[in-house]
Amino acid sequence: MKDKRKELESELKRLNESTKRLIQTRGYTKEVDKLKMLEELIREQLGNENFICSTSTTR
Amino acid sequence: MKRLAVSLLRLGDILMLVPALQSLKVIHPDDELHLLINENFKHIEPLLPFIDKIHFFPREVLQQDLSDSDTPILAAFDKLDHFLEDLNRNNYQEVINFTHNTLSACVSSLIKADRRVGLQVDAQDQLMIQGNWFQILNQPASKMPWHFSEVYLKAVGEEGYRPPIFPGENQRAESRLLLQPFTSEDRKFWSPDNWRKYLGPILKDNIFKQCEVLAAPFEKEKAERFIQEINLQNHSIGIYCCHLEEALVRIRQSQLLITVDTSIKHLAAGTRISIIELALGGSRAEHTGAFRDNVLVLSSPENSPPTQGVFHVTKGYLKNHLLTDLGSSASCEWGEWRASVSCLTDSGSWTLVPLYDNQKESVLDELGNYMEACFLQDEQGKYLGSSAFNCVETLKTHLSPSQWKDLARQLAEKEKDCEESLDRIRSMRTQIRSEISESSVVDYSKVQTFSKCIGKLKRKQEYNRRFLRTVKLHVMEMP
Repeated sequence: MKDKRKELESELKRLNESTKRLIQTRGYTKEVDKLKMLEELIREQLGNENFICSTSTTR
Repeated sequence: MKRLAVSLLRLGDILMLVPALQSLKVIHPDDELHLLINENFKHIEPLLPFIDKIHFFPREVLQQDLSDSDTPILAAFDKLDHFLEDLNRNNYQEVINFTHNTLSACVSSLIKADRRVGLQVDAQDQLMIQGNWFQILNQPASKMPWHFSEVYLKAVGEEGYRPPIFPGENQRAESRLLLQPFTSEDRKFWSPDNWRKYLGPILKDNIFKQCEVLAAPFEKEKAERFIQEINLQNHSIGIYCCHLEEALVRIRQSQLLITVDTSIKHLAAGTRISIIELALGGSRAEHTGAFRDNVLVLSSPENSPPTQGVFHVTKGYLKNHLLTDLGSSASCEWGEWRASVSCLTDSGSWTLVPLYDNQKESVLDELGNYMEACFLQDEQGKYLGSSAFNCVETLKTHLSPSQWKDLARQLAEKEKDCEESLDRIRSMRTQIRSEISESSVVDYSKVQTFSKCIGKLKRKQEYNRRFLRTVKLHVMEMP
């Protein structure tokens, strides 16, 4: 279980770096949105999905 | 016009959305309605024949690709790209995101549409909420006074009451008790030991000829273990392993469903079966209970389920189809549980009405309480019928047939008051609706005040209705 978590965290880091690089080179495009969505898919697996609180930053 | 509804949570959440989706079809009969759900809930498709097209989000496939270090990240990216390309060919005019989480906001924002409603991601990469009713979903759970189905219904512009309707006919119920003990969350699970304590008295009364555990095909072994652990001597419990569609048929063929917080209760809400819901762990029955009238909800005062003081529902109570009148339920014991009953009015307002605080009180004391509730102060602080308190006193000490009849006569006169209180509830709902629908900035403190008033009025109206019915029944039974 711990290994899986580590793996997911490293994938998330990798994806995050790719997104940043893409923003630096091409700007904020639709591709960036797609990568951000994939990041969210990984975050969910890390146990962050919560119906009520997942958007707490917007409050 | 083509419209896409997005629901990217679990099965129960999709089922809670059914009334709102039905409303969309009724309000906009000429529009095409599509639905986007997670691919692993593909099996729900036959239950939603009124949806023109259902799209499936490949969540698990994408997650597998992303979590597998041997698969290049671009594989997931390409799959997502193809999926969005296909979806965008539909040229939607409106996308409504009914799921209130970040992932669904990202997905909705990637779908081309002229108009977006619900949680979205804006051009500055910030989460934003379109539509006042969806703002309500962003409130902390403790301050959210609505059932999710109710919020969805209002969000699509539904004015009245719309229970979920699933395909198929309501069949004659056989004498069968259905149990749904399994849930995807461990904290909502009640141990077989507790089920045994609870089921023992019910099965001993021989009210039901059959008792079955409802299980999905992949839960078969779990169900077998569960029955072994319950180990109820002299009573056999069967297993009914089936898919969702067959579960719906089985529910329609049964009399009572006792369920923990699962999608099955939402499915049962579209049938006539009596439902007892055990709201354990993190279940929030006030937001996600079965969206129907007369569901008995038993929740534990603490977040953990009670292990002692098991509740006991009497034979009379069950025979009266759970809650046809409160008089018969007065002899039930709820143990450490908090008992409430769902109330769904014609105007589409759903609420949980608490039952008893002191469970050991006699029937007469219970009636006395309802009598008082019946004549609560009105909004101006005036009693609706002060003379009724004399009747309460009489009721508590001595009750002769003529007094019952006299009481019933007085109450019949007060039925008008019940109707008036219902009218007040309706007008307040209308006020809230216009407040939320028309203003760009919602004053939540005002909404909260309205909600509290409505809760009070709804309870009063419900007490009145049930009390009147109870007294009338007693009068009819008089020699």
